[in-house]
Amino acid sequence: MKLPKSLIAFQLGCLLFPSLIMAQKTASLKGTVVDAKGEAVPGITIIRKDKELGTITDGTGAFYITEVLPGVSTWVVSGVGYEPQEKELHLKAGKAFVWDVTLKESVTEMDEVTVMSQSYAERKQLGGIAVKVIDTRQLQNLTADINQVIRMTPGVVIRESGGVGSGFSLSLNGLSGDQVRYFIDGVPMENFGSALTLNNYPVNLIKRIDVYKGVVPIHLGADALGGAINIITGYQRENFLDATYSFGSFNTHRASVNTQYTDQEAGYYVKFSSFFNHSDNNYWMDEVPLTDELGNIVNDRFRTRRFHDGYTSGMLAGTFGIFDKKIADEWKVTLTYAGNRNNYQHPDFNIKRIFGKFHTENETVLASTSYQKRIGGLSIRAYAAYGNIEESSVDTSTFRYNWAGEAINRFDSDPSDPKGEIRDRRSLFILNDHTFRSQLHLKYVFHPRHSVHVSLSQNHLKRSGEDLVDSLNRSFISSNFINKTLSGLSYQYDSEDERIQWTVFGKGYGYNGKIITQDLDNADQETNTSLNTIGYGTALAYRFAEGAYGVKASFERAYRIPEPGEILGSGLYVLPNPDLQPEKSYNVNLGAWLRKSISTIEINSEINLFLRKADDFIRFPSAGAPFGSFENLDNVRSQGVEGSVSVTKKDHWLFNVNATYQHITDRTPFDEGLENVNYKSRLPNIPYLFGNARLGLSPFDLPERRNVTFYLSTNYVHEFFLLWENNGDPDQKNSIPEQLTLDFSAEMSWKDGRYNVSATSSNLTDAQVFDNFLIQKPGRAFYLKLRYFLNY
Amino acid sequence: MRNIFKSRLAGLWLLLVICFTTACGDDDSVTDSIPSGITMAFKTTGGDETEYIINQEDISTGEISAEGRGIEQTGWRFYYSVGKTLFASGYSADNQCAGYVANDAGQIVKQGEFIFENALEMFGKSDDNETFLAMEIPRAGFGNRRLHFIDVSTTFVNKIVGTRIFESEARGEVAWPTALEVRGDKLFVPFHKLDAQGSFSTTSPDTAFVAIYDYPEVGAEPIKIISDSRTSNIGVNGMTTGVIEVDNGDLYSFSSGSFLAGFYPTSTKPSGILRIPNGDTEFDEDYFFNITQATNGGNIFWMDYIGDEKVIARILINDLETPEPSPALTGEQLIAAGWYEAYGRSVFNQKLVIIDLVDETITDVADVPLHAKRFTSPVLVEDGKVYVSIETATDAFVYTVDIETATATKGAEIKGKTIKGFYRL
Repeated sequence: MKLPKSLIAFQLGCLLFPSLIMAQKTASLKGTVVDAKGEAVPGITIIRKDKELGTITDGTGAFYITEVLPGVSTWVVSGVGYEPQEKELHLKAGKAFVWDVTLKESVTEMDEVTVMSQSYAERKQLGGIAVKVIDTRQLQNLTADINQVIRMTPGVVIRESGGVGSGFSLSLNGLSGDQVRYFIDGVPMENFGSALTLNNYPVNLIKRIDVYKGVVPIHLGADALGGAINIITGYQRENFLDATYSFGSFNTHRASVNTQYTDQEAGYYVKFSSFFNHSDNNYWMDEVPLTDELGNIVNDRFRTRRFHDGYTSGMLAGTFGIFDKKIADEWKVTLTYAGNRNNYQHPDFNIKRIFGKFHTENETVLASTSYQKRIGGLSIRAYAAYGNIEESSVDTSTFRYNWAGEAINRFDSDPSDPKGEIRDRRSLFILNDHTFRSQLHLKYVFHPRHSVHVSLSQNHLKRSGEDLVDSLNRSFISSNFINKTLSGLSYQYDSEDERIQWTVFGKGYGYNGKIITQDLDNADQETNTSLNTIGYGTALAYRFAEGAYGVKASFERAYRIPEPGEILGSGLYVLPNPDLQPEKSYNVNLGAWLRKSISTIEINSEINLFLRKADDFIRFPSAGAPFGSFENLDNVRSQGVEGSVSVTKKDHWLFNVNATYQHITDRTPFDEGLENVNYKSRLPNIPYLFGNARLGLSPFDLPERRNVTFYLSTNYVHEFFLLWENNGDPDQKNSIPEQLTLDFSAEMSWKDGRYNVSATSSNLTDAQVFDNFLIQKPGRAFYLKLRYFLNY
Repeated sequence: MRNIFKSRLAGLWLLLVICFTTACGDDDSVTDSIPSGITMAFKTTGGDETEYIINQEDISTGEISAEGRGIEQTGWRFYYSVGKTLFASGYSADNQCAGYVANDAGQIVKQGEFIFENALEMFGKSDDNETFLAMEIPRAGFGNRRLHFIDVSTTFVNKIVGTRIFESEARGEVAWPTALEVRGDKLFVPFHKLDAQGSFSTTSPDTAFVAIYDYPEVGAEPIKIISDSRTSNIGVNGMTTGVIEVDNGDLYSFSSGSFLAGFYPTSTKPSGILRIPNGDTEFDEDYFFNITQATNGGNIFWMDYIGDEKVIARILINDLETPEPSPALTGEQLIAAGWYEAYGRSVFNQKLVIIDLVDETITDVADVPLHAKRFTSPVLVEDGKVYVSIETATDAFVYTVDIETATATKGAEIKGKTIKGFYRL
C-alpha cells in the first residue's frame, strides 16, 4: 500500500513543516455590543454578509473574530429584539479592528420578523446536509454527560444497561453501534478506549455537538454508515476557568476543571481539561431472580440494591497552542491521559448471571496535534493522533455470587473448578491497541460562489493481546493490523442571493489488514485482506424568499468498513473472516424548516423524512455451533419521520419538543435458501416511537446579573417487542415496556453566571424504566451541582 | 401566515402518524388454547432464528408457523422431554433452563426454571422419568463436567455432581459426552476424546469409549471405562442419543467418525453400531453392525429408538473430503470448516433410514429427499409412526414415517428453518 504511506508522509510534512507553505497575514475584528442603556448584550450575532464568518457575543457582550481576509467587507450585527445594524469595515492585515456597537431595541411588535441573524448552529442546520447542532452553552449547569444531551435530539435513541459508565448503544435514524461514528474536534474516537466514550464527558468540557444524520461531510474522514457525531470542545482566545463538582444519589460524584490561559500579544495559549466521575450505581433492582447454590430460583421477584456496579473514570488533558503566527493560524498539541475501572454487576443483557468481582480497567494515552492555516482562498486543516489503549478484563475470582450478594467459594466444593465469573476459565486478559490516525483537509474558495474541499485520512490499528491467567486463551498473542484510508473530494456552490447551497462529494474507502492466528501447534498463520470501494453523495438546500423557511435534501451512498474484531475474530470460537465485506447503505434525507419571530418570541421548527436502505449488515450467526465468524447477512430498511418545535422567549421561557417515528424492516428475502418469515417485518428490540420535551422557565425578574431557571423535561419511548412482532402468542410475548420519565431541575446563578448552583431530580416519579429487556435503570435520584465560571 | 399553516399541517400529520401507530399497538389477541395436539420446538428463519414452543392438532397437512402463536424463547435452545415435561435449555449468554407442561386447560405453561453457570449440552433421564439429567461441559481445559439432577415434576435442581469422565493431562485430552443413558443402576456415558485446548479436534478417533457409573449415586469417577477398537468415538455432538436402550434392555451405540460429524482428524475405522447386552457392562464382542459396508449403508450421523429393536437414522451418503492442513488454514479453521458444513445448510447428503438392530438390515425410508439436519431432540413415536423435520435447500416439511413399511408421508410445510423436536405433553 504505497498510497497511504505517502499520504501519511505528506500529512506529517504539513504538520511539521507548515512554514514551507506560503503564508499570508490575516486581520481580526473585535469589540463589544451594548444596548441603549449601555449594558452588555450577550448572544448577539456578528456576521460577515457572505455568512462565511461570524461569531456570537459572550457574557460580557464582547466578540472576537480572527482569520479574516484583509480588505473591505460588510458586517451585520443582529439579535432577537434588536434592530440589525450593517457596516462596511476596512480591515488591515495583521491588525485587530475594534468595532463597538450600540444596539437599538426593536420597535416592531407582534409583526412577523424574519430572523436575519444566523448563529453557527443555524447556518449549519440550514445547509443541505441533515445535521442537528446542539449548543451546549445553556446546558452547562446540568448534571449531564454528553449522552444525556444527545438523547434530546430527534432521531436519536440511547439505550443504557445501567447507571454511570454502563454500556450503551446509540442509534441514529435506525442505524446503531459502529454504524455511527464519533469524533472529538474532528478526530475519530473509535477504538480510543472505554474511558473516553461519550458517557464519560461532562457537558462542561464541550461547546457544541454536531449530529450528522446519514450524510456525513468529507471533512469528517470516516466510514460512517448511518451518520456521525462530532463533539466540539471549542477554541476561544480567552482566559477562563470553569470548575464544576456535582454529587448525589448512589454516591455519585462528578467533577471537571477546564481552564485556559491566553497571551494575546505573544499569540499562544495553554489549556487544561480534566474530568472525574465516580458512582457506586447501587440503585434498586425491583425484580431480579434470587437463586440458591444449585441455581434454583427461590424468589423470582427479589428486590435488592446493585452491589458490584461501581464505575470510576478520569481524564487529564493539556494543550499548548499558538495562533496568529506566520506559520499557522492555529497549531496545537494535546496530551491526554484517561483511565477507568468498571465493575460489572451482570453482563449487559442478562440479569441471570451475577458478578461480585468481575471488572474491566482501561488506560489510554493519546497524543495529538492539529493545525490550521488560511492562505487567501485556501484553508488547510490537519491533525495527527497517536493512541496507546490498554483494556484489561479481570475475571480471576473463585467466588460465585447471587443477587443477595451471597458468595460461595468454588474451591470449597471443587478445588479444581477452573471457572471464573464470566468465562469458562479464570482469566486476566489484556488487549493492547496502538493506533495512529491522521487527516489533511483542504478547502479552496476559488470564487465567492464556488469552493472545493479535499480530505485525506488514514487510521491504523495494531492489536495484540495477552492472558496472564488462562494459558489456553490465545487471542491476539500475535499482533494483528488493520489500516483504513479514506479520501474525499467535494464541491460546493452557493448562489449569489445565498438562497441555494449545493454540495456534491465522493469518498474513497480502502482497508487492508494482516491477520495472524495460531494453529494447534501454535505456529503463526498469516492471512491478508484488503478492499477498496467508492462512495458518493450530494446535498441541496433552498431557502425561500422571505428567508424564514426552507427545504433541504441530502443523499449518500455510505459504507462501514468492518471492525477489527469482526474481521479478526476473538482468537478461538469467533474465527477471522478475511472475506467480510463492508456494510453499505443508501441514505436519503428530506427536510423542511421554519424560523419565525413574533415580537420577542422565537419559533424554530423542523421536520425531516429519512430513508436508510442498508445491505450486508455484519452479524454473528446465532448460537448452536461452537465455531462461527461474522458474516454479511442482513438487509435492513429504516424509514421514518422526525420533527421538532422550539419556542423561546428570551430570558423568560423556552419550550422544546421533538418526536421520531421510525419503521425499520428486515429486507432479507431468503435465509440460507429458505423463505425469511420476517421479510418486511419490523425489526425487534429497537424503539420505533419516541420523543422528548423540555420546558424552561425563568419566572423571576431578579436584580441584574442574577438568574433562577426551572427546567422540566420528559422522555418517552413507546413499548417495543424483544423479538419479532408477528410471531409468538401475543399474550406471552416479551417486550420492553413503555418508558416515560420526568426530570426536574432548578438552577440559580449569580454575577452573570460566575457562580452557579443547580439541583436535579431525575426520574421524578420513580418509574421502573428499562432500555433493554429486564435490565432496569435507576429510579428517582437527586443531584446537586456547583459551578464556578470565570471569564477574564 | 401560510408558513405557519404549513408547519401546523406538518405537526398535525406527525400527530396522525403517532396516533395511527399507537392504535396499531392494540392487538386482537388469540389465546393459544389447544387442548391436545403435538407440541413442537420450532425455529423460524431470519434474524436470530427465534424459537417457539408451538402446539398444533394436525401436522399432516397445511402449514406450521409461529405467526401469532407459540411461547417465544429468548435464544437458542436445546430441547429434551422427559415424560410429559419439555425442557428448553439455553446457552451461556441466556443461562436458563425451563420446564414446560400442559395445564388443566390444555395450555402449555412454564412449570419452573433454574439458572446454570455454563451451557448444559448433554441430556438424559432416569428410567422412571422422574429425574432429568443435564450436563455442563467445559469447552477448554481440565475441569469437571457437572451433572445436574433435576426433579421433573418441579424443574428443581436436587444435586450437582462433578466428574471428569476421562482426561489425560499428558496427552492433553478431555472427554465430551455424547449421551447420558440410564439403565437400571448404571449410567452409561459414551464420549469423544477432544483436545483440551478447546479446538474440538478429535485426538483419538479410532476407538469407541463408554464410561460407566453407578446410578443414582453417580461418583466423581466412573466405575470403569470400556473401549472397542472396531469403530470410532461414539455419538455426534449435538445429539443426545449416542447410546440408546431397547425394549429388552440391550444398549446400542452408533459411531460416525466423519468430518461432517465434527471429527478432525477423521476416523480410519468404519462407521457402525455396537451393543452392550442387558445386564452386562462390556461391549458384545459378537456384535458389530458395520454401517459403512452394509447394504444401503454409509456413515451414520444420527439414530434414535423407535421400538421393536429398530432405530430411525440419518446416514451421510458421502463425507466431505477432509481438507489437508495448509498454511492458509489453521487447525481451528479446519475443524470449524467441518462443523460449519455439518451445522449449516450447504451440504444436503443425509438420507433417512430404518435400521433393524437385530437383523442388521438398513431400509431406506421411501419418498424422503436428501436433506441436512443437525440438532435433533429425541423422537416422538405414536401408533407405529414417527415425525421428522426434513429440510432441503429450498423447503422444509414434516414427514410422518410409518415404521412398519418404512414409508413416509409428506405433511405440513414448516414456515421456518426447522422443527427441533416433536412432543406430546
